[in-house]
Amino acid sequence: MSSRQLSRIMMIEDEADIQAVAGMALEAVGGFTVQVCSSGREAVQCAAAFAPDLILLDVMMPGMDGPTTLKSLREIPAMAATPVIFMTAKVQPHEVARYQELGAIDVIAKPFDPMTLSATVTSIWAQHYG
Amino acid sequence: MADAANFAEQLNLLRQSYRAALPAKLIEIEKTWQGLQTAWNAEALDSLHRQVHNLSGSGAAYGFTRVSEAARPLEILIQSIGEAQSAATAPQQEKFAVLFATLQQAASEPDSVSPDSAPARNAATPDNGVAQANLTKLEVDGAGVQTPAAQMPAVPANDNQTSNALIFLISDDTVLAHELELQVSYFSYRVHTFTQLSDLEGAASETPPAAILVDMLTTGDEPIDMERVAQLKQGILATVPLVFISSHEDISHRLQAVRAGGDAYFTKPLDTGELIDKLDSLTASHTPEPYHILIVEDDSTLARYYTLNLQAAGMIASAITDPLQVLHALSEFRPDLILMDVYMPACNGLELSTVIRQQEDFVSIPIVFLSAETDLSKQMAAMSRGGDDFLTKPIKPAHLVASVASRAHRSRVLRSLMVRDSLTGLFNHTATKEQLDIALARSRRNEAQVTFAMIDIDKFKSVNDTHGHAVGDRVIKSLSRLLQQRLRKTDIVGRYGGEEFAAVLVDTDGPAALSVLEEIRAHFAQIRHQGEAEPFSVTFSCGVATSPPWLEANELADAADKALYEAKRTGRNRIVTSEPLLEVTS
Repeated sequence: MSSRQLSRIMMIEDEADIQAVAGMALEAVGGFTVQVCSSGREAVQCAAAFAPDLILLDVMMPGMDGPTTLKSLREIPAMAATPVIFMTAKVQPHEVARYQELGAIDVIAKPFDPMTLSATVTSIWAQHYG
Repeated sequence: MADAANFAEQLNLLRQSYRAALPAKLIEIEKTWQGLQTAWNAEALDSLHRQVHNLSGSGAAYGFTRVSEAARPLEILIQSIGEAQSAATAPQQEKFAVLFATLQQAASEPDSVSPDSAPARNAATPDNGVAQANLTKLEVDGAGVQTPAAQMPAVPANDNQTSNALIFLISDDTVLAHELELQVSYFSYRVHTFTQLSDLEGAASETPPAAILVDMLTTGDEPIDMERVAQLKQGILATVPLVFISSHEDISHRLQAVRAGGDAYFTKPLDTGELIDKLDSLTASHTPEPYHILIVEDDSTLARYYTLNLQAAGMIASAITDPLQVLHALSEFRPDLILMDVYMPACNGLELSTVIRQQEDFVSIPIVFLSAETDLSKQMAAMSRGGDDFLTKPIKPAHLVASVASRAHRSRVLRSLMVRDSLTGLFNHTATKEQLDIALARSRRNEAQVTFAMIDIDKFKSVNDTHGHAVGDRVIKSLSRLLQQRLRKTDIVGRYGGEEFAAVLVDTDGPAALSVLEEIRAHFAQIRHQGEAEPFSVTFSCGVATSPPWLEANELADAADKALYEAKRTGRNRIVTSEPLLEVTS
């Protein structure tokens, strides 16, 4: 039982293909409300208004990359403690540790399975608030 | 269910468009690369990196695992070229050409849907990940119906699949042929008779029959060419059940039949009842009713997630997020198993299971707890309160499905011993009444009609007295089979007493029920049962009552019983509809 309900997810991802499949997987399978941002800049602009419970953040993006975006988001008072999960292809254990140092609660490997993405997110959430 | 089907469909559409866009993406990558060969450009390399990176990150999610796998080393190569900040060396160019060719190849190879398609990595299983995982898992205990998610809906359409199955008979015994054609037709089989093996062969290669009956002594005194039959059985008829009919009881003829690949052997005079029993079991395409699973979980996201996973494995899952609704859900949904969260706000799972167990009707339904609790002593405490199993969250979909399916399977087997009649496999008296209650409750809610029919075999005592109990039992079985075959899968057929049957026809008004039952009555009267000395036929009487106007099960059953009595009194072999005091117009 999680003490907090997960319902609003902000996904920051530049690639349209991944936006489409992940957005659908989270909405249709998980029943979450999802806001997709195509860049770190866009995310910083609309984060406060959307007020996500959780942020899914792509590591490699043109312009502001994932870690830079995270830093900027943390400067927004409302986003100071919002849990963030990084999405990346590079998931060596030491890299996971590095992303966690940056403030991510976990890392989801790309490519992911659309059928189980919501479950993965839910279980990370449950562990974080468990 | 609709959600799952919808999701699978949407996913499929997305995959199709991804697949369509792939070639253009590869061309773009090739162009960028070639541009880089003529003039070094950090920005272009960056863009190349991103294009390849995106393929590696998206491929498997769209069912192109190999694209992800092939793009990854290409991405690493591009990174190393970028770090050197100079044009690609000759070995790098060569490597690029090889890796790019692999990528092109991979783009034409979407993941197969076979269960052995290798998972990409980590949790990323391409395509029907969930369903496939369940499939492989479930083969172990062989329980349940599994349908890959892409093939929703999960409920198999199995209504009357075997109706009017085609049977080929080879015989020149016209009396036998005629008799068989007539007798088996009452049980939804069609017989096509051939006198020449070659004709049968031709017809079978066009439409394979459900079974083949071979009269071993055919064309006057010339025996049938058993070698030819054996060849056919090894060739085009390999999957078709083969039944031999012979006038010889001896072992050598039986042996011949076995050697030719026979699945059964009958001697003349033919007992059609036994033959049909055999045909039923040989041609049965067994599609078990999917398991009904009730999920009690206050977290609606998790509830949805479990529902979806169980549905993807072919089960019918229904979730309630308010634990206080559980009793209502139990009597409406009639689950084979309850999957329950332990910690819920309004009342916890332990209390709830005690409440459920205190009701006699629900004592035997397995309750499986789901909880993040890993403390063994707390788990044990949960079991002592009426739980049957304890699953720890988070749980992998495959594990969830496997534990639920095997428990539901066992529960159903146990339940069937309790509710089924051993001779006919029909619902017993108590279970029939219970089913009638359920059907009435549903019909009230849907404002539909339910018709209840009581059927009693006429003068059954004299059948037993004249032909013995074994023959009597066969008569009972033949009526049971006829009712099951002629009524819909959604109707309920029970053996109410010795020679008494009951049928609950859901969503059926009086006139519709009457026409179906009348057809069954006429057919049953024409069936010739094999007696001690000679064949005989039997009839039944039937009383019918429809709800509304009767609302309670007892009233409805009483009304049908009175009508049955009336049918007996006025001469038997007939159906009488109960006349309510109030005239109802339909």
